Amino acid sequence: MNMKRVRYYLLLGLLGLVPILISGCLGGSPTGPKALFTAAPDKQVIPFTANFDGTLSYDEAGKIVSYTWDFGDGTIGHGPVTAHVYKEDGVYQVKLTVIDSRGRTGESTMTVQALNPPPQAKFSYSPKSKMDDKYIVGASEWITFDASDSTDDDEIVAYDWNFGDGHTDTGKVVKHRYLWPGTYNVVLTVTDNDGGKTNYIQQVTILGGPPCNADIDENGDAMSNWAWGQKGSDR
Amino acid sequence: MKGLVAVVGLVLLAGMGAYAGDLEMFAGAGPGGAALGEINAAITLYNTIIAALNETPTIDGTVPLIPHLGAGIGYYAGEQFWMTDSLAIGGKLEYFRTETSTSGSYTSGDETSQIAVDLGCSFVGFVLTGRFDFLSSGLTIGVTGGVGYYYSGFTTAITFQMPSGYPPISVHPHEGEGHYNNQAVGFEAGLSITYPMTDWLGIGAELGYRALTSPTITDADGTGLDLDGDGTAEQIDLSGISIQFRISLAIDLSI
Repeated sequence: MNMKRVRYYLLLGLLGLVPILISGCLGGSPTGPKALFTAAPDKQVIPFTANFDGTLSYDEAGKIVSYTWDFGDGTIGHGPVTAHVYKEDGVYQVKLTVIDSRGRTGESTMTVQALNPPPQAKFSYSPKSKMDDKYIVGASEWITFDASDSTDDDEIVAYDWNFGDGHTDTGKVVKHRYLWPGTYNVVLTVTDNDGGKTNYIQQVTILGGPPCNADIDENGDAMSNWAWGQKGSDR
Repeated sequence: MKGLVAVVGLVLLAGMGAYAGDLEMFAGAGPGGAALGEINAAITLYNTIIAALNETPTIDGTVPLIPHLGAGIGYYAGEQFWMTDSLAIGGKLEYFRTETSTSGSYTSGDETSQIAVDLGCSFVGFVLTGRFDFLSSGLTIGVTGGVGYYYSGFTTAITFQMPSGYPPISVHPHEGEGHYNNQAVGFEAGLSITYPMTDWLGIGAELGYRALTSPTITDADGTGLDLDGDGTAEQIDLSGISIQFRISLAIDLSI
């Protein structure tokens, strides 16, 4: 084979190679479908309905033929647009998987926060008297604070009291007395089984003088075992 | 950069000293392209979001879509030594840059959201080349090939504020300014046409294909470029075709 023929075949080969190179370069390398979606809302107190829209998903070299939703709570859905009700609080990873006509897949995930509804805190107290449109309680009088009106969608697991005079207590129903007159902010903090907390504040107005029945316990009984006696008695 | 040029110059001068034949110096420029497939896939993602925002009735404003990255102008200069009448070897220094951008804003109520995207990609390569001319009848036609070491860089300056009037979206584009780079070995092949105007001056063109991929590019902290925010660093595919117009100067070194 002489040199002239070698050059001829080389030229032919190169001319054939050029369109292949150009088409290969311009054609690029398709990356498959791209999943993209919106969620509205993506953060809400339960129960709520989240609306998912996957119509932004696209495929540069094909057509998307399937949309599959994993709502993160063990349920799935289908279609480009869907909705899902979250009934339990938690953080959910929502995943959209799209499949194109060539069988290639694309995924995208997003966090949806289903918030625990906080407990409702409320308390009442007694005894109390009304004076000038204000409720008052006598100093040194035992007061019963009752948080039974507090509510939650599930369960309240803790009641914490701050009586505003440096004393605290826990429990749904507690007793406390103020030894000195004044206006006190009583703060009730209730905690539900999901860790949600809510405060409730109520002012308590105490009237009266310094303690005179400080030796009476919260049940009204004498705290010391003593009695009046005659002078000279052996008691 | 200056150091690289100096090294190239020294290597080529050393080559000159080793042989005593025809030396051809050449320089040129021309349009070229780079595939940048994953980068352009990210740009498509940006454009999808921009298009959706442009069409949302409750949001005012229009932001132009981002042209795909890839087309640019390349420059090169080098020299080659003709070992025979039809075979030459040498080297060249090559530079290519491509860039794209968009900017605009959206208003939704009292809120203004800015969109500004500036992306630039470039490389500098030192390529050891060879050329074989197989047809010469007025015009000289030959094939070229080369292997090179390329330093590629990528710059980003992105502000992408999603209007609060638009629902939360599963992908949020990468934001901020950054400079990423990497080095890689690449290959070139092409078809060369030369027209000798005189014994020592010629003009020509070369249609070439470059195969060059940097697995990932990283910034100074070693963080990869994740333009589409999917948690995976983008690959920089600088493979592409180019058309380079050339002027060459032949020097007869024989005594």
